[in-house]
Amino acid sequence: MSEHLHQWMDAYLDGELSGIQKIEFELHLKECETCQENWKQQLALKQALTSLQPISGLKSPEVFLAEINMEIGTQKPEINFSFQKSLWYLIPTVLIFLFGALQIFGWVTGLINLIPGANRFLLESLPFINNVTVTNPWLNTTIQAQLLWSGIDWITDWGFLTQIFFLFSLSVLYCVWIVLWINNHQTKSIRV
Amino acid sequence: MFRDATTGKRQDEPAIIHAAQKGDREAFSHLVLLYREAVINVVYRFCGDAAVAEDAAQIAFIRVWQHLPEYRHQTSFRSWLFRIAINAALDMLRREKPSLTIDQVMLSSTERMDHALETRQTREIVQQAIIKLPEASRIVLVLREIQEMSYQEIADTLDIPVGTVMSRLNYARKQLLVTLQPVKEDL
Repeated sequence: MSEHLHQWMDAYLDGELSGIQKIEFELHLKECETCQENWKQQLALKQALTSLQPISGLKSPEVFLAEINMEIGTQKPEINFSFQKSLWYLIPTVLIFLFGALQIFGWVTGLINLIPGANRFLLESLPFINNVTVTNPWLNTTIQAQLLWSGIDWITDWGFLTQIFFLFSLSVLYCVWIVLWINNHQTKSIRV
Repeated sequence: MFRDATTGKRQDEPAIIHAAQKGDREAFSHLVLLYREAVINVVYRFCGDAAVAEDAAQIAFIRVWQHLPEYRHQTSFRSWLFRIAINAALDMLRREKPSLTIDQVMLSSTERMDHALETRQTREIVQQAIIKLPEASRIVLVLREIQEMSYQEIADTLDIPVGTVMSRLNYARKQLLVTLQPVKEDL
């Protein structure tokens, strides 16, 4: 091993190297004098940092706690609702529901028929899929067979209720996903 | 699970946090006493002033109480708490103690050489060398060396990638070696 492994020195020192990397580094350390010298310095520094004795604070734990309790008073922990922050989630969610509601309204009243082709749904309305299935009839047969096999062949029968059900399911799934995403990510962005 | 410092009885930390989130002051007091020293030490190593460290720790615990319902159990409570404490310390240092500069707490190289005979003074020199580090590298070093946090924990606490933790730690150690060169024999 000709190259020095300085970049692994810290990770080895902190016990962050994986098994193979650790062995590889130890083998290198036995052979390389430059790394040995660096290693000694790092060890000395580590020991110096470890020798820093912990402080216990100027106030006793009881006084420390009493002062905090006095400052807190009778207030209870509460979620601080930020309207400005909630707009980031509220606006897209409202728009999605509004769009869905408009579509349903269009279907119920028949207004949607005024837009050419709007009464058809996904597979028919996507020109790419349409063109491909027209020029390759076997693809259409394959898709139909797959849908039949997986039990969702009804999806191609775009009845009125099916369309509403499908759109509603997608909306629910999307909203669930948004809620889960917010739940998992908001702690990262909170600066208290 | 952890042990109560006074009774030695095993406690379920998530349950205590959950109780504190619901407004249980006793559970919160338990958390304060459990983490008090760790928080004070992290802030002290970061700023080098025991009084500031204690005040920042108290502010941090008050903020923790106010924002407890926002804490999610997916992340480590320790990481969350330290992030709040570090922010509190930074706020204090920037707003209340703008005069606390490195020049004031650093000794000259010659002075360091003279005083390095005593272990206590050597420790003081090491502490001062830590304070001389840039803020971003300093906090990574303190969390690693004082709290013995893993790279991943540090990354979670500071909300930075693990690669950044590694590079800042590497930089901090290199800088410390350079700064402490005159007293190397005493380390």
